Amino acid sequence: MIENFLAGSAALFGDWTTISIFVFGVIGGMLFGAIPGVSMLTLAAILLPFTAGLTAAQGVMLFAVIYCTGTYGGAITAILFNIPGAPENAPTAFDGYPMTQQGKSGKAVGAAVLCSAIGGVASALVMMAATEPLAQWAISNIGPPEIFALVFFGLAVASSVGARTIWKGWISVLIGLLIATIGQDPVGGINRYNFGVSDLAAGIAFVPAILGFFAVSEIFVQAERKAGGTYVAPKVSLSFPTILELWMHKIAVIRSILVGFFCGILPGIGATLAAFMGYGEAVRWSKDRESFGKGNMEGVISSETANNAATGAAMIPLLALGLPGGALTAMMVAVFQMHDLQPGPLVFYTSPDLIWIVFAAMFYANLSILIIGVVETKTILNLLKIPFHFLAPLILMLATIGAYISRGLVLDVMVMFLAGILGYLLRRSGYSIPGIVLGLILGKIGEQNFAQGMQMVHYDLWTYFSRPICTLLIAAGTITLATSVYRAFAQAGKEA
Amino acid sequence: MGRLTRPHLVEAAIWLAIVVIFFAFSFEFNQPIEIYIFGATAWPRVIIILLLVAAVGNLFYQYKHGSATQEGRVGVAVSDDGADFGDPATRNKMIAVLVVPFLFAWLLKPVGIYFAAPFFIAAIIWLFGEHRLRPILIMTAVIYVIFLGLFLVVLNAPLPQGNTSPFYGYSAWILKMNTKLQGLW
Amino acid sequence: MKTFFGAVAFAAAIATGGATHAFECAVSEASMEKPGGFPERALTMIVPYGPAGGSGQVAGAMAEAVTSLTGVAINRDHKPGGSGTVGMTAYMSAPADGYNVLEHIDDASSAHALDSSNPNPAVDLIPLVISQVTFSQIYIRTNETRYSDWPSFVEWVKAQDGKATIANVSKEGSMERVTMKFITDATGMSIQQISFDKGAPRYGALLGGQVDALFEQPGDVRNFLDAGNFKPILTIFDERPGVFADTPTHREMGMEFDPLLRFRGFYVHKDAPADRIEWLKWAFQRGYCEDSYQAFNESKFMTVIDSYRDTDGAKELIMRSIDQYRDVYTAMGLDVK
Repeated sequence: MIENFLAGSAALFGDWTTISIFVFGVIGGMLFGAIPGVSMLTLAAILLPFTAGLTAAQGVMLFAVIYCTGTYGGAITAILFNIPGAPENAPTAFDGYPMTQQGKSGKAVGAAVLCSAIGGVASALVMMAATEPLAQWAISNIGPPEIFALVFFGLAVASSVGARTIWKGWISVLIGLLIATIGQDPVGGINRYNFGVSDLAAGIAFVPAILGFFAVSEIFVQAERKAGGTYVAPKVSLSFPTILELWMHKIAVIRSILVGFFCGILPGIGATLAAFMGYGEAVRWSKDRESFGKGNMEGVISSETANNAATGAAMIPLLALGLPGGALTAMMVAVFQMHDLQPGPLVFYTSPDLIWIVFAAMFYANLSILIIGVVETKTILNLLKIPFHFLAPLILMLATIGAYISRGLVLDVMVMFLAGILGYLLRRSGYSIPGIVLGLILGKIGEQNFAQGMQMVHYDLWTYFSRPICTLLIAAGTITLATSVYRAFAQAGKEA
Repeated sequence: MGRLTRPHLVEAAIWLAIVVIFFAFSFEFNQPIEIYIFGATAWPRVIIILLLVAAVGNLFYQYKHGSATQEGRVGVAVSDDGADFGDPATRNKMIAVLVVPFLFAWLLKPVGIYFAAPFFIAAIIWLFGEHRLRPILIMTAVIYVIFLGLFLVVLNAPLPQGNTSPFYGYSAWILKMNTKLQGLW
Repeated sequence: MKTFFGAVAFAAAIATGGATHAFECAVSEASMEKPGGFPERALTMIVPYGPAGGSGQVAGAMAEAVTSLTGVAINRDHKPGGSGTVGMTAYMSAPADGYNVLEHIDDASSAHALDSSNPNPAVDLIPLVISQVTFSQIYIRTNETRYSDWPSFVEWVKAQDGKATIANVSKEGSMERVTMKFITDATGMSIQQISFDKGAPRYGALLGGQVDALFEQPGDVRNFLDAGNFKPILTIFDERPGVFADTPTHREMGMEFDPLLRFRGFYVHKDAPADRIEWLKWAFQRGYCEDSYQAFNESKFMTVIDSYRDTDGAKELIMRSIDQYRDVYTAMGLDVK
């Protein structure tokens, strides 16, 4: 493995073109992740046609690097502006933004930088060592019933964080799930809830929804503050956390690496669920639960470690089996195919050079988050100095393009602005915006895997629960639900 | 009424309206799927029923406890520095802030982004409190040039060109200029 | 089994290539003057599917070939959703000036067959070229021990009493689902189809043993075939293509139905100026001959039968497909409008 890694490193840094592409990917991913309104997906979708002009190794490497640094970049806007760059950064905002409000943005960003790097590097190491055997294990042991069970667990966690009451948590998640039913049903391709709009057959995509719920609604909130004269520019601080401060959260880091890795390896689940689960588990095991959501650094640490830990893991099913787990990894398949290659078991035999350049690049990309992250963050912080009435149209323009570009639908821009209005109205009434977004993302995956699972077991629940991993995950989800219900009623009892 | 307030009732009414509308529309696609006994309606209807339960639970909680946050909840967004909407000027401005982007989105199909963008940018700058003409024009030009430079010249992103005359003609002219510009190197 | 359509001549015409086709470019002119300077800017190609799937790839390969041939850039505008209907609607509302072209697959024909208010790709559009025509197969895992070929598979499936599973696409009335209906009707077996709307999880399900078989076209699973993970046990085509000489066809296995084919091609709006249409026809038909495109088709098993149709050939293929689907849908009791 070490020899391969060194050979990959040598190839990566062997010529200036490849080095330039690597640096472009690192900086581009971070920038698009960190500029409110666009995300790494925007950059990836735009770059896709251009990868035809690169070699296969350069093209795939570029996307892998964007994946690593973009996942980190999204944390910056989550912390500074309460605008997560991607769904996987949503839980980072729970504690990151309150830290900014308390003048501790430097500490939050510092924690995000370090933990993204740690999670990503750890994940890259495991990826290098275990891609083939792990992929084989996952593909044989994780089928639709297990994926549905994990979605159920994830939704149970999502409903227990971010909203004012258990009821509002569930309403948030259920609204997300209901929005996800718009468009063709995943079993028969039957159009649902078109309301006479033909483009709705394509369903509601999560990219415009997240841009609307997070970026646009935040602009509206700031507009209201401007109008009401209560606007306060975010406080900027550059005092990064000390090593000792971070060392105190080592258990949270390790737990999030494991959670992130497990979620990342499963096709279709990826980094978003990883971040929510990482955050949820941090709360569950903490002795100081009350401080979460109010600026607890462990919240930032848990979600950022988990989402970057998922990036390496997501490469496992992609590279070893040709099965992409999310939007960005699906685009990587397209890059492979543009060069007459198919990701899958054969790639390890036919193009080992490519694989190890990609592995090495992901390792160094995660490492470079540490160095470039600090420098670039200071540049991004300067964005805060631009008067908001100039920043707002820039963000809205970028968001418009970000929403439009992935599916080429004006409908998506409308959905984004509608989600912006909805988010603006809902966020002050105690509902969980991240809960809605996770419901939307997992809704279709959940329905599809439920249906497939039911078809496979011939609608026999006994057979369904005879699968141990599935049973375990359903039980974990049920316990999460039961605990939050118990807490709600215990409080009601105390008050009565 | 317990601790229920008017906003609580409005909230409940909205959720119930969603439940009723989505349930009613589910009959539109209530057709069997040959290979799946639950069909296309079972999943949305289960969600609708759960939403009904949650909405009723929410109302009951608000009846007992008002808007209080439940003990042990984490990650709750706090936003309590909103504007005073009693002032009609503030209210109208906020309505405009919400409507203008939607209008822009609606115009993208017929008019295209290349033509609509500068007007949208200028409108947002104005709505966000900058009323001096010169800064509005300069910043609109700066943002428009950044947009064209990055997404058209550098990245060649396929963006909505509009489909009505003369707006499509304007987009075509911009794209032609871009082709000529790129032919220079 | 009842034969739904009498287009035997059609099937025979398709089946002209049993072995790998010797390639010969059908367009002799190596260059063509641009009519009135057209195109003086980049073309926009609307692709009604995502960039990673079969359509996204063929669009990319053809765009690259046409650009290298003519020097005209082509921006691909992916508009996935609604089984291709969303992209088609967007295309039909785009100006018909020749700058907007469309990639589409046989789904456009079947959609028109079911509901004639959808555009007819041979009438409302002008096919520039059809550049991929392929057939379907049934696959099993290579290390499968319960059955090894089509007869033993059918026998095993029948013994499971409806509990055997096959991964297939999710759209009702699609080429895949209709073909599976033909097969189950013809063999009398009952098999649970598991619906996957994306390719990757569909292949993963067979690879991981979650399902017993897979319905797919060979180009989409080529890496699994090359890696020795999957093997075809049935070819749904009238002859055995050379590279699958060991796999029996459905007719050899006693199933008398005309195979439905998957085809992908490029179109322009019928109202576009005639001289521009002629230039586009030349560019796309000649683009098909470019080495890069041929290499791409080769890698996708798209050269094992004749994949090329010029405008007239494409119109014929589309019209016959529409007739086929209309007959099938009527026989299935669907509401054909």
